[in-house]
Amino acid sequence: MIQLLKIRYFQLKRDLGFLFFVIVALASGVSYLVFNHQKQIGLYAVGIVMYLVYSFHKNRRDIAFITKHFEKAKIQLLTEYQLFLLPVSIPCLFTNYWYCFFVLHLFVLVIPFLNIKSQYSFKFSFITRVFKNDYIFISGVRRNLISLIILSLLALVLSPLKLFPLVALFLFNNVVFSFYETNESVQMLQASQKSPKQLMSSLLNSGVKKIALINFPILLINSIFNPDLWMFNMYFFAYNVLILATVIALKYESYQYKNSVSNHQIKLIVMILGLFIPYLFPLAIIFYVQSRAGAIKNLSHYLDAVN
Amino acid sequence: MLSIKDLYFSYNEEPVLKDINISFESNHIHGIVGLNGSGKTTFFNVLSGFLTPDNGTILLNNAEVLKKDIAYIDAESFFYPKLTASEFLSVFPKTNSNFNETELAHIFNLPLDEFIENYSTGMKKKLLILSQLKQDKQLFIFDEPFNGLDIESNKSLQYIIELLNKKGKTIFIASHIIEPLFGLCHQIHHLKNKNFVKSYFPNNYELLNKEVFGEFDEHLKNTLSKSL
Repeated sequence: MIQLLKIRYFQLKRDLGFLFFVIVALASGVSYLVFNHQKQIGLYAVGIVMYLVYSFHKNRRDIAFITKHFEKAKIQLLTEYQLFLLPVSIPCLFTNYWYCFFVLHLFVLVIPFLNIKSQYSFKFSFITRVFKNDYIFISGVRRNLISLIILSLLALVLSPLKLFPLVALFLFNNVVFSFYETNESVQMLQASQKSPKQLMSSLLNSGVKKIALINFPILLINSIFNPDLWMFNMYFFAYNVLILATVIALKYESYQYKNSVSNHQIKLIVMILGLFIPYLFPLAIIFYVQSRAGAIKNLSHYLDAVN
Repeated sequence: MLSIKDLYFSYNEEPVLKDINISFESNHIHGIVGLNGSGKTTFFNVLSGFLTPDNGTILLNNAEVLKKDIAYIDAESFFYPKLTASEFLSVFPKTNSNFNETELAHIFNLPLDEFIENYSTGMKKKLLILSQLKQDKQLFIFDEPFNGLDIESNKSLQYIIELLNKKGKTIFIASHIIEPLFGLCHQIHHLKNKNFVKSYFPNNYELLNKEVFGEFDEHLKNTLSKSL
C-alpha cells in the first residue's frame, strides 16, 4: 500500500537529502507570505497550486506503471498528493484564507479519480479547419478542449467582476502554455522550412494571436466595468505574452530529437510567480533572453541557418 | 559524391567516430553495417547535422550539406499526440510533385483518418517514410528501416528505395538485418572500432557475413556454451 511513498522516500533521500527539509520550510514560508499578503492574492495562489497539481498529474509518465503494478494505485496517488500538499496548505490555516486548506485538499482528493487522460476519440474536425496545419494547437486544443471551453466561459461570465476573471484567464493561458510541453519529431520541425530565428518568431506570433483572441475581449469587458484595473489588465496580458515567449524558448532550448517531452517546470513556476511578485519580473526577462539565445543555438542543429 | 574528411566525434571525451575519411558515390544505395554500439546511428546523426563533430568536414558535391536536403527516417520516431495521420502529413510541404498521398497510404495500408497513437510501430514507421517521400530530398537516411515491418511493407519499402535511387537520390541504410541490403545496395560499408574498416561490392557480399559477424558468432557460441 505504500510502495509509491517508499519510492518517493528513496528518491528524496538520494536526490535532495537534508535539502528536502529546507525546501519544505521555504515552501511553507512562501505559502504563508502569499496567503497573508495584503493585496489578498490567496485565491490566485489556490488557483495556481490547483493547476500545478492538476498539470503534474496529467503529465506524469508513471501512471500506467503505478496502475499496473501497485495495489490500490489511486489511493496511493491520493496519499502522495495529500502529503506533498501539506507544506503549502498548512500555512493557510493561520491566515484569513484558512478555508483554502480544505479547498486544496478536497480538490487533490478528486484528482487521481479524474479520468484526465480520457480516451475519447472525437476528432472535432473543426479544429483541423480552424488551425490548419498548426499541429501544436490542433493537438493541444483536442487534448484540452473541455478545460479550455470551461475556463474561457468562466472568464467571460465573471469578466465584469474584479480579479476572478483573471484567475480563470490565467488558468486558460496556462493550459495553452502546456501545449508546448510536447516535442515534435525532428522531421516535423524541419518541415517548417524556417531558420531558427524565423521559427521562433512565427511560433510566438501565432501563439500571441490565439491567446489574444480569448484574452482581449475578457480584459476589455473587465476594464470597462473596473476602470481602475485597466493598467493591471494590460500588464497581465503583456506578462502572459512574456510567459508564452519564454515557454516557446525553453522548449526549443532543451529540444532533443530523441526526447518527446520538454521539461522546464521550475523556470515556468518562477515565471508564473512573477505575475504576482513584481520583484521577479527582471528574472522573467532574463529567463526569456537567455532561453531565446539558447533555443536559437540549439535549433541550429536541426534547421538550416538560412532558408 | 559525399566526401567525409578527418571526421572525429566524441561523447564525454570518449571518441565514437574517429578519423573517418571516406567518399560515398552519389546516386548510389549505401548500406552501413556494424555491431550494436559501432556508431551507425551516431554517424547518421553527424551526417544529418544533429550532432556537431569535433573535427572534420562533410561535403556533398563539394558543397556543405543542407539539412533541408536530407530525409532522416530514424529507428524509433515519436509523433505528436492526438494528431491523425492525415494531419501529420499535412505538416510537410509537398515538394515532390509526383507524390500521391492516397495511393501510397493505400499501398502501405495506412488509415489516414486514424489517430497516430492507435497505429502499430510498423505503421508509424511507414507514415514517417511517407512524410519524407512527400518532399523532394537529395539524401535519404534510413536507420533500421526494416525493423517492425511486415513482409508486404518490407517489400514495398525495398521497392521504394530502388525507385528513389532510380530518380537519382543517394541513400544510406543501416540495418541489423543484412539480407535485404544484399539485393538493394551498390556498396555495403562496415563500421567497426569507430571507423569504416572495409567497403564491400555485390561480388564480395558473401564475405560480409563472415567478416562482420563471424568474430561475434564465435565469441557468442563460446560464451553461451560456458554459461548455460
